[in-house]
Amino acid sequence: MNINSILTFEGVYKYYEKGGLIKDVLIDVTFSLEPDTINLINGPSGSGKTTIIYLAALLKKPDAGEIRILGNKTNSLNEKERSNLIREQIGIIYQRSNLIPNLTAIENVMLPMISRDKEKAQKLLEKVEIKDFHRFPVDLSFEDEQKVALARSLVNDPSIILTDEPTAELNSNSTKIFMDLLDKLDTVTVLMTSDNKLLSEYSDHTFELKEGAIR
Amino acid sequence: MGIYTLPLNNLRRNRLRNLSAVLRIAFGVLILLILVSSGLGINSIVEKSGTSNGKILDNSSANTTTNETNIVNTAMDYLNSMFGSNFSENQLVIRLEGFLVNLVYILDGLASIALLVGVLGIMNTMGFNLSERKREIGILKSIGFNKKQIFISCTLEAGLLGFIGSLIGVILGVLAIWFISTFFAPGFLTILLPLWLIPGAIIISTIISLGLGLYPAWFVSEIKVEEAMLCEY
Repeated sequence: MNINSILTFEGVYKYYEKGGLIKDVLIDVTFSLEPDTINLINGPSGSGKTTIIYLAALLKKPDAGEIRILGNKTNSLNEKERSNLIREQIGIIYQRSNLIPNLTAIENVMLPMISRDKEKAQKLLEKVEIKDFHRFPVDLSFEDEQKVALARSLVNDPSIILTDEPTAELNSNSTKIFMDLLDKLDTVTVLMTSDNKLLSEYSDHTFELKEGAIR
Repeated sequence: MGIYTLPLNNLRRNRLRNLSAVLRIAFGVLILLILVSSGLGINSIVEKSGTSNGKILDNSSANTTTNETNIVNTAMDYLNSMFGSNFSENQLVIRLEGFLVNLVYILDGLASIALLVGVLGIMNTMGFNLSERKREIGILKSIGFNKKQIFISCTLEAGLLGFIGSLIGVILGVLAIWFISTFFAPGFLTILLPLWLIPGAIIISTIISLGLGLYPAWFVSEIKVEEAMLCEY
């Protein structure tokens, strides 16, 4: 185990059971992410990319293997320890509709905030180029919505940002803007999934996922 | 904005549905206040008259006016002629007292049912509200809120609906009682609104609402994130 790694998957297995049939989703997945790097998991639809994000975000438990964050084992954490770790160390951005619809951009950013520091929230929104903090998600473009989600994911100074197909709903221009913002984050490790090979130009490491295994 | 202030914010959503829940509770509390107050008014007359010894509206009582005595006599004659009975004045009054005491119980029972019917809608409203918010629950879990926090937040929303509804109900109830007692109540009948009934109605409605919000809140707090994220807004 590399003690400097931010996130480590050690022989992780995950399967689903449906109608009495067991389907392997992840098979012996092992990798570790170095600090301050952008990492891409590339693979076709259904290859298990989203499952890796859920496991890394501690929103699911592996059926076998271990997931470590900052070197600490996470399998045996209880509900409260798990949610505290998520809040303090992990930021997550989904493909779309990441925001709470009845909260403004700044309220969304401040929602998970531990320090309740409004000034910090405003600075983060400025950093991701959002000018009007008081717009509701319905008034934001897809690009701005993803930017607000990025600002929210950074609000507790996490060690790792997990993004599941963050640019799938964006056009090429918006994709570039969003990826440039991610690229500028120099104190956080990013793990993103995508079937868009163009994103590999932004990544320090690319993992190819095929039929649940890293090749 | 924190997880426990979200319920206040959520009241602005599904306005028609929430308004309908609030109005149902308000109506239930309004009926509760009127019926319980009427019951207490009737009870006070029975108690003031010495209870169960036929002294209510008894024409031997020092306070009874000649006019009231005539009313009692006329009513007694009418009932005797109608049912072919031969009640004495005392017997009639004892039966009347018994009827009034039973009426108070019936009024209290009806009041409880009215309140319960009004508040029961909370479960329905919360069920719909929360089932539309599964994706949001998934997001809350993804950004580090645990089941307990989500459960408390959703339950608080039900409690808030109950509190606001009962507050409106109490205001309307007090106005209605004042209106009835001023313009409609006959002279010898009173409607008593004890002070304890006002906070009592608010507290009971809020507690029942919180209780009824428990199941929908538990249901959504248990939802898995991957399931929640498949839902649309």
